[in-house]
Amino acid sequence: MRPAPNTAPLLPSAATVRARREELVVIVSPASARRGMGRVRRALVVAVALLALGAGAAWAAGAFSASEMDIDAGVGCFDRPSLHADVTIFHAAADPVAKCGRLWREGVVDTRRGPSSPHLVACTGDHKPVYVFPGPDGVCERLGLVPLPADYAPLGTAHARAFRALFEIGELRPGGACLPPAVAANQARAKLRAVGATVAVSVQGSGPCAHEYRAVGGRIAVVTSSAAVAEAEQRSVRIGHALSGLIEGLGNGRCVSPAEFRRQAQRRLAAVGLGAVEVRISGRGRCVGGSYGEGGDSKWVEFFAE
Amino acid sequence: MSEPSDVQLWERVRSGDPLAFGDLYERHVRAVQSYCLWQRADPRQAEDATAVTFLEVWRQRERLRLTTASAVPLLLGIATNVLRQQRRARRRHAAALERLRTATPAAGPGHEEETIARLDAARELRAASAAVRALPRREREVLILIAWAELSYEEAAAALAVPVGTVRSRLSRARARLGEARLRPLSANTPREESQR
Repeated sequence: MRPAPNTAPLLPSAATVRARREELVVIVSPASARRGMGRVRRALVVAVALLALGAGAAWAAGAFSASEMDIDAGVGCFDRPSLHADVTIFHAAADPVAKCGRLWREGVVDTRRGPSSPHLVACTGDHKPVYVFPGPDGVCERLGLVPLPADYAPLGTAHARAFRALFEIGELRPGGACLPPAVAANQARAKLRAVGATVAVSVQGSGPCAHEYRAVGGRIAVVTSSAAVAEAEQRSVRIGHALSGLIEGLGNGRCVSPAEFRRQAQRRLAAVGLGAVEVRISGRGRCVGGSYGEGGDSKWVEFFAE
Repeated sequence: MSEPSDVQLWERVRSGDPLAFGDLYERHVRAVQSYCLWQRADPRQAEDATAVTFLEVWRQRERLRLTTASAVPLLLGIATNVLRQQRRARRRHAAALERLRTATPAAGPGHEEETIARLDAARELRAASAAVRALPRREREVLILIAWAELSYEEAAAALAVPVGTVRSRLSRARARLGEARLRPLSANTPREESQR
């Protein structure tokens, strides 16, 4: 028996665990259940606002690293000084405290309170949205956040257009091809010029293939990766797509014999140009199980008959 | 102030305290996700199964009993059930899963190195666990709980809700199936095993 395989690189980072913990607590908290409909409505409002800005996808994916640009990812007015409090979210404003104060006075944040606003403090954190809490100065630090910088400014229209354009550029590796970073950067520049945006585009890393676009320090970077990684990743994704329907079927208690499974899998792979991918089946069971492995840079795929 | 024990945390979770549940999640999520990775060798499936496991723990908190000092056997027992019925359980929590997936911080500057390390680890995991995953499900579950998750016989029995004798016999069959020639001494991984014989 081998020692336990090292799973550390595949486990979530401490920051991810913290972020998911926060979300999990919100999901299960009685407040969200009691006021669930209100939360859903507010979430929809912010989703629409962010998508209109064009940064919605990036915000959801947490795709932007620290910069003055990505600090604009929505503002949350919390009804008490806790990350677990009920929250009203709106699209970024030049003065988040003033905007939340108005919502407090209108009774939007806390319906039990009269037409007044408590002392409010604006903070920011890992994900770069703006959090506004009622409470004394120092509440940000107590919650593990930092005070919102004095020079905070939401994105202007030009940057919003740039972001939207960036996400419309789409597939960086069409059909699994390796797109040179310089070509990807030129595509991004042309797209940005077409919408009148003046955001600089640079290449980050020395790999031969463009991997993804990222907003870094007020500019857009084409992040590179090695061809081997890029191609294997791409092939892996395509294999997953090709076989997903077949694998889903296995989860419904259906027994598919190894021979039948291999035939169907090969047919599906061949239909998307992956006929060279070898389908292996190990184990001596009657039915093929739903989990699978890949190897040789996704040149073979292995299922298990249980 | 000292950290609360799992038993203390669990009492608070049972009474419906979301923050205690958050603490439990933060304390044990990596153990649960490792277990799911060993069972499935597929990072995405393991991630989903881990999230569903905790959501199921919360859903069933009032009827679940903690019978060991550590909450890990209970969590791995729920994870075992989730893995057996992954698609059904995933459907039940689809909306929450989607929210949890988005709760991920931005990739840092070492993103490419991390990606390569993840790919390497995934390959190594698949290779290492191929033989184990070829075992019948019940034997595989026992073997992974004891040899890799390092549970004692009693804890594995609690996790799987079976008698200790059943754990022993399944483990014995699993070892025989894998073949003595391929076995390293399990005691290297399970220091508590010998004392329990």
